[in-house]
Amino acid sequence: MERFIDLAVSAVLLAGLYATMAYGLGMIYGVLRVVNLAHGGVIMAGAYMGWVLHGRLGLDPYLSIPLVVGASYLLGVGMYKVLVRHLPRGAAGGPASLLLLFGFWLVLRNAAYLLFTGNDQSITTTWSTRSVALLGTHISATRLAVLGVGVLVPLGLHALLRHTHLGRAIRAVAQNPDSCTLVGVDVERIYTITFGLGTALAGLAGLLSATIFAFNPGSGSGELLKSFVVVVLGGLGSVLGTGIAALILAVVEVFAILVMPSYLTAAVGFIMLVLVLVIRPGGLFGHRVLG
Amino acid sequence: MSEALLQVQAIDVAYGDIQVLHQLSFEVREGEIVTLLGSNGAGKTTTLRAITGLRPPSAGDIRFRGQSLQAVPPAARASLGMALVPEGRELWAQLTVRENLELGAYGPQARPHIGRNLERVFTLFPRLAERQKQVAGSLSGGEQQMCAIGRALMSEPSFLMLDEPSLGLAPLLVDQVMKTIAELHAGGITILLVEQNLHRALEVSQRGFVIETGRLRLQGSSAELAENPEIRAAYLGL
Repeated sequence: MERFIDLAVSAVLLAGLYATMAYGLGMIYGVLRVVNLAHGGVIMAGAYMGWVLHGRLGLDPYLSIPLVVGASYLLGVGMYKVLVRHLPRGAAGGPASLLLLFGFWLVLRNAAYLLFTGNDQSITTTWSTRSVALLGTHISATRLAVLGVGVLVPLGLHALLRHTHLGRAIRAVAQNPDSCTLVGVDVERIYTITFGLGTALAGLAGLLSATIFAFNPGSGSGELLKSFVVVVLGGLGSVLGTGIAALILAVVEVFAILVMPSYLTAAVGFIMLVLVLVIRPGGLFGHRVLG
Repeated sequence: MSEALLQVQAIDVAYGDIQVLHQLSFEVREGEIVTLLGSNGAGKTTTLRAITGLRPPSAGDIRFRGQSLQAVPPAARASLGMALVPEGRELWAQLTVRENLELGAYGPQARPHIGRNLERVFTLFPRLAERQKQVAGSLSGGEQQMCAIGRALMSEPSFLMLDEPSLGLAPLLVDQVMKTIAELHAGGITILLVEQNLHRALEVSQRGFVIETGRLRLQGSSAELAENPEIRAAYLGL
């Protein structure tokens, strides 16, 4: 029973990270119809940004959130303006954008190898090892913090999308860009902001993940795969759907430890992806985009 | 005679290799209600897309209140006072009716007046007030048309273009839409109406143009056009 509660708690804590990771990917696809294959690379870059800020400047990873989010946003804006803007969109643009963004990931990865070598790194702070007693189990303080951010950020985004002019415009562009132009929405500007926001979320996810797991320049592919699973399960940018899907993935992954050797648990996400695509290709919650 | 509000001057528009409009020219004067007529594929929708900037002309010029639109980005044109009710409504189906209307006032000059204009639209179409929290995709065809017209009105346009507003509507609803268009015109909005339903269009408008394969074929007062034997044969089936 105690083991069960332990696992359940780890799953919930992990879900916050998965939700943050996936939301950025879903948002960019939902609005631009571009699969951001560089997503994993940006997650890795976010981890190194936090690591550098902590190692060189002694900045606590949770205090560096605004810096990492800001830098990742600018990275996303740059990626959009320099690369993605020139690509064909939608079904026709598939191969071109996949190749280009995958190439960009390789560039990021090799830049990281050059700058930081291939060694495993992690961000360890004075409170990394502390834990909080809750529900009869001990929960690591960092994981709790990750969950907190992982819940707050999607809720903030939800509020942005629902209740601001900009958010409404982003949702409208996802559905019908031409009508947006007609009412005076600068669609290119919305694409730029959305790509920036999606990339900022990836950077944030990388930073959060770095406070729990070790990483190296090759990191990011597992995260990309998990993001795909969550997006396919939960729909595009639906905050609630993403949250539930992230929780399902985390629970399945964590409890898989009970029934299969640990080296196979990494395949769980992949198996889920295939199952969902076969059984419910529209996701668990239908086709709503950014709601 | 009042001044030209919109001047379309010898525009060419092409989709890839296929040229749709050839040296098309016409004018709409302030306060007029004008119909652009033509059969399917004649280039009516393309003409409106050229005016709104969604499909810029490769040659010629379009002037609005004397100003060339060449240097005006499409998204800035709503702020000049023009609005389009597109063919097939083109609403944001997963957004609520109210969100659709509010987005109609996205431009900087319209945003401060959202409240006042929502009220105007709800007075014009009480049905939309009842349905404001529903997503637009759940509305009936007639209600969607009201929502599309309402959205265009949210920016307080002085020039309103409507692309086949009667398409797919039951005759009773067509009556209503045409009545609304006449009311909007009476309220001071200059109107360019694109229709296949020639009979109804000529009833409501003062003048008309007929385009055929992207070229201006005929123009005249609505009464003249309605009496023109060629048109009667081609479009009215008389």
